[in-house]
Amino acid sequence: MKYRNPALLFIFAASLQAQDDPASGEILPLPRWSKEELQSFRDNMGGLNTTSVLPPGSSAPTDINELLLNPVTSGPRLDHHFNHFESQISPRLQPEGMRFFLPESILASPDNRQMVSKSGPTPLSSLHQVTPEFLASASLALPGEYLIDPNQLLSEMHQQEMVRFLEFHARDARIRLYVMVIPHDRRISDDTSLDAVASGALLKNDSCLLVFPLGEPWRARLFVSKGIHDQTSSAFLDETLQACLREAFQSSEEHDQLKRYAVHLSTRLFWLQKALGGRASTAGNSELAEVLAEKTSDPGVTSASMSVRVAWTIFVALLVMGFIGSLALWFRHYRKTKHRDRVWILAEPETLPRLGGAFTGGGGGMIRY
Amino acid sequence: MKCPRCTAHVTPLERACTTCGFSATTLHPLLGNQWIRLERITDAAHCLRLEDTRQTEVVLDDFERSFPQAFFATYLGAIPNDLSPAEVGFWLLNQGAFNTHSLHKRNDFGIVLVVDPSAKAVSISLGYAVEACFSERTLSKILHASGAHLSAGRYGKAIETACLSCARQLKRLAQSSQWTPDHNLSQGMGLEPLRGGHRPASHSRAGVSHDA
Repeated sequence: MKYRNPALLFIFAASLQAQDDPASGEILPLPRWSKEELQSFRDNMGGLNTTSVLPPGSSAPTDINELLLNPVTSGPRLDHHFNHFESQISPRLQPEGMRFFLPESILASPDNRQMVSKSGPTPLSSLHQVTPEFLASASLALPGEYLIDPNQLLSEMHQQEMVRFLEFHARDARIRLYVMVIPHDRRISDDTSLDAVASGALLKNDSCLLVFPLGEPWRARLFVSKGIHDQTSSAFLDETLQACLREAFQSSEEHDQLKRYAVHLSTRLFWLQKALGGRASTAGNSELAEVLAEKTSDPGVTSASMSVRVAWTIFVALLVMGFIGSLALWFRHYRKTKHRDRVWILAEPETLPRLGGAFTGGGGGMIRY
Repeated sequence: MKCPRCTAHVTPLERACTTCGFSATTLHPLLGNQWIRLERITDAAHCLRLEDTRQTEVVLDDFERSFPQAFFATYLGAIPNDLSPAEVGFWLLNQGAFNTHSLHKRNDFGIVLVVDPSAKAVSISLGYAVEACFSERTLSKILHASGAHLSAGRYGKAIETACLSCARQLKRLAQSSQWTPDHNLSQGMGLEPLRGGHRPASHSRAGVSHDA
């Protein structure tokens, strides 16, 4: 056989070599991604789990190489739901079947979330620290993710709405606003470092981090960059926190509270930015400073609202009691007035006399006192 | 009904108590058989203060205005040892001339409260027309309520309690109707009805002191 082109011969030889390799029993290595490629993936995907495609929770792989190599072992499995093999097509086409293909954040409708909203503050004994997994997930958030919700407490709609708002804020404001949503029964201890949140972006720019327990805005904590904190009066920051809380209390719906809180805080940050001018600089700042501790935001307004509530309750109770008292007095007066011009006529029975009495025959009684 | 002296049961048409022989005539040697003039309040024992008297007058006025047929009279005095308040009440109701509209029935609608402060005894005597309105239990409750005030020396309050309690009991069995004042009597003739001195219905206890 005569080969006219040496290049074709080389390609043929290479293909023969490739056919021989599987026969040798060796598995071809999967491609490995370089760090630059990984960063590119991250930038394009916007986070591994933001679209709820992957199973939630701390078991989410942190490395895309790990994700590609290891099979997904957690999360919903279809074979758990379809454990029978009745070959009827119509039941599978029922709307309930679509739940297997939708993320949890969509399935949890706002109405259902409102149903589980609690009626009162979480007792201090029931407050727990956020888990290290939670903080790890928060630290994995990219600098451009201004809404940090590792537990996916917000529904899809509220999440997108908040993301759009925070991105809008970040486009115009120098002080970036990050919102970290935690469950209502969780808290962040004072010794917890938040420097790593959002991949450390809080330390690189003038930033403000709002840690918001969903449904309990009075426990919200606010952190700002050290440079901003040092140049801002505590009175302004205090008033900012109280104003945001008052704004949140305008609504009883927990998502709306978060939205109101964030919107008002955004406005205040614009004010602060204008007041500071170009003075605030993050150069050399390496830590976050909390604006106010829980003790100032929580008991102040909460006790004030409680006292207002108690005052209202007392006022309403007094009003009701006064109304009832007036009603009773009026009824008594009405009865007196009604009976004033009335007389009672007794029947005149015919009785036979007794004991010789003309008008009484021993009717009555006697006691000794 | 019971005998005022021995409290034995008395049946209609009995001229005398079959147990002790008590009758109206047995009191004549002791108290007389004359008609006696008796006011609504006779305080022979001087137990009532002026304020008590005025207050009781108001209550009795209301009673008589509410029950035009009836009257409520009170006698407070030391009673001889051989008599009991019940016997005196029996005699007063049969021999007393009270101011009442009901001439042909006269004292049939009368209620007499007799208090003996020295013997610490109190009785209520009922006329034939009203005795059916009071059960033994009701009467006992009224007497004990009044006796509680008497034991504390509140004679006026005791009379008021007894009168109001009797009024409440009578209202349960009476028929209510609109009161129409009688203006037939000529104003210029100087004549007054038997119950001409009654004031309008008392509106409150505050009006007690300004009108006797």
